[in-house]
Amino acid sequence: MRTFIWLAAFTGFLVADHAYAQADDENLSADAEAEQKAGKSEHHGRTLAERIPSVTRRVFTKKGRVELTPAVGLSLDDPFHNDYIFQGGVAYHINESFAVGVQGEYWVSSSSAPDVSGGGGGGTLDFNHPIFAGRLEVIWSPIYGKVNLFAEEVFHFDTFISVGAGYIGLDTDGSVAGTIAIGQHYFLNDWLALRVDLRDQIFSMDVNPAGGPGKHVQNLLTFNLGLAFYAGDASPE
Amino acid sequence: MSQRNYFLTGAVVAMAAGFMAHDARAERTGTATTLSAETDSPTLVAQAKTKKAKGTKAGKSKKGKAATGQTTPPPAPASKPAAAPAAATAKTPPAQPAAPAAPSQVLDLSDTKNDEAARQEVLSGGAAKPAAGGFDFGGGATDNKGGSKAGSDFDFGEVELDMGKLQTASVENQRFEKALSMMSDEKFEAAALEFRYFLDDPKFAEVHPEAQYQLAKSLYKLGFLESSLDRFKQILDAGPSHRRYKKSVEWLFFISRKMADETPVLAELAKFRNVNFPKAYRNEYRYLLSKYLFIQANRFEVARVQEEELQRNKKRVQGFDFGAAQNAVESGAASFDFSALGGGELDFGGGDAKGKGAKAPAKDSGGSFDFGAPSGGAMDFGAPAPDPTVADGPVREGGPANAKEAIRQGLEFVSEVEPDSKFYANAKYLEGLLQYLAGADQAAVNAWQEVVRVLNPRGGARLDPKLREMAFLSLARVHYGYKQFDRAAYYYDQIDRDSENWLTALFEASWSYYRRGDFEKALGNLLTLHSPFFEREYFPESQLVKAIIYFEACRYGEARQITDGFIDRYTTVMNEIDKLAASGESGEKIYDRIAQLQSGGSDDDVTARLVSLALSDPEIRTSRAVLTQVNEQQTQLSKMSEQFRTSKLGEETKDSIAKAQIAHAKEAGEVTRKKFERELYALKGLLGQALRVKLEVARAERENIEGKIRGDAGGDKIVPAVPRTVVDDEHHYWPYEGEYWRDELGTYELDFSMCRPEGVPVAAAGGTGQ
Amino acid sequence: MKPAPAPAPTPAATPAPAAAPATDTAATTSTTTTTTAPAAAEQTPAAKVEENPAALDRIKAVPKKPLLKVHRFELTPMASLSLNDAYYQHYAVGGTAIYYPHDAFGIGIGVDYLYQHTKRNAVDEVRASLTSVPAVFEAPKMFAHLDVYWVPLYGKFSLFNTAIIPFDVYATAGGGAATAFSNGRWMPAVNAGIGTRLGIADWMALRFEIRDHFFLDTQQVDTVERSDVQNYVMAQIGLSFFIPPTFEYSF
Repeated sequence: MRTFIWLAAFTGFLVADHAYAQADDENLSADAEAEQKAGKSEHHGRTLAERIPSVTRRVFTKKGRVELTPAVGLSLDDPFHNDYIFQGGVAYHINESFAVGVQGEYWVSSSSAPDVSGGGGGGTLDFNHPIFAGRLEVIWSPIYGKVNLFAEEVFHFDTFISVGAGYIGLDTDGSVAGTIAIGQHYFLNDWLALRVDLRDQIFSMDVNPAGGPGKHVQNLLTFNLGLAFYAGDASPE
Repeated sequence: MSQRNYFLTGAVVAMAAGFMAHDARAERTGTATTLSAETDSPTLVAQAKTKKAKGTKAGKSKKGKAATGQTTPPPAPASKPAAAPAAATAKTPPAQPAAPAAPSQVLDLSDTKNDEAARQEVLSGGAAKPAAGGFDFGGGATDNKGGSKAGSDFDFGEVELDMGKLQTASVENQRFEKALSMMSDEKFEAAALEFRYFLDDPKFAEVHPEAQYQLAKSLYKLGFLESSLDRFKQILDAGPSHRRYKKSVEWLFFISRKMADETPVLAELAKFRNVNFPKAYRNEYRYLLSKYLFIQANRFEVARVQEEELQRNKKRVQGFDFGAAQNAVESGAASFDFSALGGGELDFGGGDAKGKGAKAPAKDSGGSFDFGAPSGGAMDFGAPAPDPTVADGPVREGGPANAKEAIRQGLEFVSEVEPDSKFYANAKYLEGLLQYLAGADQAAVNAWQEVVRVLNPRGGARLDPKLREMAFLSLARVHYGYKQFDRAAYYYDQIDRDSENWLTALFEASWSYYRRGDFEKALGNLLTLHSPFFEREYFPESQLVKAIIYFEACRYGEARQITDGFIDRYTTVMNEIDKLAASGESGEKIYDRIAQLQSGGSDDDVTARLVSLALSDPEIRTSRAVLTQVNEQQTQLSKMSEQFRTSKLGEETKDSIAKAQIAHAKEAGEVTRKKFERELYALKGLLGQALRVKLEVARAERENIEGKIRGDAGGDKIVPAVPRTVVDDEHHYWPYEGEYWRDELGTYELDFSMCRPEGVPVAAAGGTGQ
Repeated sequence: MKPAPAPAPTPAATPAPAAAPATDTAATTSTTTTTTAPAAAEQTPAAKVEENPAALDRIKAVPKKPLLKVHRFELTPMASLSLNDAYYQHYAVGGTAIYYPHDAFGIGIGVDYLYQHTKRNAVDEVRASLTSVPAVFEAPKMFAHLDVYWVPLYGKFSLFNTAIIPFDVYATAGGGAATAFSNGRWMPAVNAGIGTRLGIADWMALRFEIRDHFFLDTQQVDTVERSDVQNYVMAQIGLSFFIPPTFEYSF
C-alpha cells in the first residue's frame, strides 16, 4: 500500500511532461504561460544562482562605516632612491561596494646610486623624488571572499580597486598626479582589517633637474601595507 | 509503526510538491535541441534556437502572441520554395476536376521531395498512390506566408481529395473545391464556415463526411481545440464506416499534443487498437499512450489508497482534541491517551547513534517511508492478454478497466519504443514506474538505471538532465524503501542544486541520513532547508525530523522547543487550511482565492505557505493551465470576424468553449479543494505527531531526572561534540559563521553533541567517517 | 588573526533555524569575538554540554571542491613581464606543464622565453647625468626549470555578489638553467614563486603568479670580470587547461 502512495510522488513528471510533445510545436499554447505564471513559488525553473546572491548575511559589512587607514609602504621601481612611505587615509563606505576617501602620504627617500659601467663611476646625484602626496579617490570593492589557511583559519577579505587624483609634492616642484590602486582587506574582526595594496602614481617629474633630459611622465609603483579601522556599527545586510 | 503514516503522508505530499513541479520547460529546450539536431531544415534550426533563446522571457513573448491571437507559424519545411507555386495553383480550382480516383485512398505526402508533384497530382485528380493507413504529415505545401498565419506543425495544409463522388453536381462540386483550396491557402476561417455550411445543406450530403473532417481540422488550425475535438469525436462516434475515421483517430494524438491537459484526449485515444502511425510519430505515440496508461493505473491504485489514507487520518484526528492533548503534554501528564492517533510505543527508527537503541545496524526498527516488502503477488499479471488482432484500421475498445490491465498495456507500449528514439529514455523511465507499480521493484530499478546510463552527459546518447534527475530521485526512493540508506543518500546527492527537486532531495536525504544514524548530515540538510532562502517552501515535516533527531540525541529541551515552534507555526497554517477546506465554499472559489493570494504577492507567512503549497501541486497547476488555455480560446474567438462569430459555427464554438470553461473551472476548484483537504489531514497528522514527540520528550526528561536521583551515571549523558575540521581531499571545509554562501547550501554538517553508548567512539556512533 | 568561531556558531542577530536551539541559549556571543573562548577553556567539554547541550555544536559547510587537480595535468601558456628592473622592462612568454599526483602537490616543468627587453627612461637619465650606462649583464633569453608546487590555501570570492569564483594559492620552487644563447652558456638557476589559480571551469583556470629567478652571472665588464646574482622577478598571467578535461569525485 505504501507503494502506491509513494508512487504518487513519482508521477509528477507525467503531469508536466505533456509539454514535451509540444516542444516542437512553436505555438507553446496556453499551458506554458500558465505554467510560468503558476510557477512553483518564486523560483520556478530558475537556477540557484539566479535566485540567491552569492553571499548573504556577510560576516563583515561596511555600509555606512568610516574606515581609517594608517599604512607604510615602499616604492618598487624607483631606480634612484629607496623610498619609504607613511600614509594615512579616511574613507566612507556608501555601501558594500563603494567608498570615497582621502589619503595623504609622506615620503622618506634615501638616494641609491645606480650601478654603472663605461666610465663615470657611481657618483651620487641629487635625483628628484616625491616628498608628499594627497589625493581623493573612489574605491570599488566588487569582490568579497574568504580564504582557508591549512583548513584551519578562515579569513574574509575584499578586493578593491581605487581610482583617484591629487597633488604630488616633489623635491623641486610639484605635479598633479593620477593614481590607481588595487588592494585587499583581510578582516581580522568586526572593526579591524589588514590592508595591502599596490599603487601606481602617474605624474610628471624632471628626474634630474640639474641636467637630465627634462620632464617625463613617471609611473611610480608602490606597495603599501597597513591596517584599517572601521568606525560605526556594522549594519546587517 | 503507524505513526509513520503521518510522516509518510507529509513526506509524500512535500515530495510530490517538489517533484511534481517538474518543469516542462527544460524538456522543451531539450527537445528543441534534439529537434535542431535531427533536421536538415535551417529554418527549423533557427526556430529551435530562437525558442531556446526565448526561454527565459517566454512568458512575455507568449503573452504577445496570445494578445494578437496568432497561432505560431509551423516550422517551414525545407521545400518551402517549391510549395509556393502549389499554393498559387490551388487558388484556382482545377478546371477538369477529378477523373475518378480510387475512393478512400489517402495520398501520402510524407515524401517531401515529391510533395509538389504529388500535390499537382491530387489537384489535377491524377492517380493517387495508395497509402495504407499512412498519415499525411508530409511536408506538404505549407506556404508560410510571412509567418503570420499559421498552420500546425504536422499537417501542412494537405488536401486529400476524393472527388469521385462529386462529379455530378458541378456547382456544389466547385464550391467544395473552393473550400478545400481555402484550407490549402490557410484561410481557415472562411473554410470552416463553408464546411459548416455544407453540413447543413442536403445538397452536399455526399461530402458531409469530408466536410466534417475538414471542419474539425480547420477548427484545430484556428486554435479551437475543444471544438475541434468535439468534431473529431463525432466522426469517431460514427464508427469505422466513416471515411475519415482512421485519420480522426490520428488527429486525437495531435490534438493531445496541444492540450494543456492531454489526458482526456489520450483517454479517448487509448481506446483504439491497431492504430498505425507513421514512423516519425510512432515512438511518441507509444510513449504518450503508455504514459496515459500509467496515469490510469496509478489513478486506480493511488486514488484508492489516498482515499483510504485520508479516511484513516480523518478518523484518527476526529475526536482528538488538540487543545486537551497539548494541555496534557504541558502538564507533563504521561497518561494522556494518544490511542486515538494510533500507534503505540514511539519509535522513530532512528539510527544507531542512540545510546539506548544499540540496534544492529542492518536491522531497522521502523520505516518512516516504509514500502514494506515488495508487493509480490499483489497484482498478478499472468500472461499478457493477446493483442486484438484486427487486420486493419483502428478498432475502438474500452480503455483498461483496472490497474493490472493498464499496467500490462502500458508496458507493452513502452517496450515498443525503439532505443534510438528520442522518447526512449522517457519510455524507460515510464517503464520503471510501471514496473514499480506492478511491484517488480528490481525491474524498476533496472529501468531507471538504464535511464541514468542513456542520459549520462558523458557518452550518453542523449541529454535530458531533468529526466535523469528524476530517475535518480526514483532510485533514491526505492533504495530508501529497502532501507539501503547509503545508496539512497548517494542518489539523492546526484540531484543538481539548480533543480526544483533539490530541496525535496535534501529533505528526503535528511531522512536517509537520520535513519542511518548520521545526525550530523541530517541536521546539516535541515539547516539548508530552513535557511532564509527557502523559508516559504512547504516542508512542515522537516521540523519534526529535526525535533526527533534532537530527541534521539537526548537533547530534550531543544527537541521541545522545536516541537513547540512547529506546533505554533503550523497550527496557524492548519487553521487556515481548515477554513478553506471547511468553508463549504465551492472548489472554484477556493481556487480563485488562491489565485488572488498569489497575484497579491502577500508577505504574510501563512498565506505564502498556502500559496506555495497549492501552486506546487501539479494537478492544480495543470488545471490552471487548462483553464488558461480555454480562456485563450475564448479570446481568440472574440477576435474572429463578425461573420464567424455570428454564424452557426461561431455559436457552436462559443458554446463548446463555454461548456469547457465551466467544466474546467469546476475541475480546477475540485482539484484545489481536494488538495487542501488532503493537506489538512496530513498536517493534522503531523501536529498530532508533534504532540507525541513532546510527550515522549517529557517522559524521557522525567526518567532522566529520576535516573540521576537514583544515581545512574550513564543514561542520557551527552557526549560533547568533537570539532572536526579535517575533510578528505575532495572537499573543502568552511566553518559556518552565520554567513550564507550559495555554494555551501546543501553541504552543511554539524558537529553535534549527543548521547552515545558508552565507549563508542564518535565516528562509529554516527560520525561522517572522515 | 580571525578567531575561531565562538562556541555558538550562529550570530545572535541572525538565528539560523537549524542552530536555533543553540541560539536560544548560547548564541549571545558574536562569532567575531573571542570572549567566550578563554572562559570556556576553564570548563571541561562535558561540563559545558551539561550546562548547555548546544555549547559545542559547530556547523560547517563541506562542499565538494569545484576543481580537482589530482591525477591531472595542467598545461598553462603564460605571458610575463619583469617587476624589479628599473632600467629595462623584460617581456617573456612561456608556459608550464604540471602533473598533480596529489590534489595539493604537483611537479612540473616550465620555460620562459624572454623575447624583449625594453629600455626605460631611467637609462636615459643615467646616461644624461652620469655619461655612462648602467652595467648590463647579458640579458638572459630563456629560463628552463623543473619545479614543485604546493597548494596550501584555498578560497573563494564573490564577484558582484553574483558569481562565486573558487581559487587556490600555491607556492612553487625549482631549479634549472638560464641562458642567453649567444655565449652558449647555461647558468644554473633557481626560482621560487607564489601564485593563485582562479577556477573558471572544470577544465580551465586563470593563473596569476610572481616568480623570482635567480642565477649567477659572470661577465667581463670593462675587462674586469664581475659576477653577480641576478634576479628577475616576473609577474605572470596564464590560462590553465586541465587534462583530462573532466574529473570524477570518488566519494
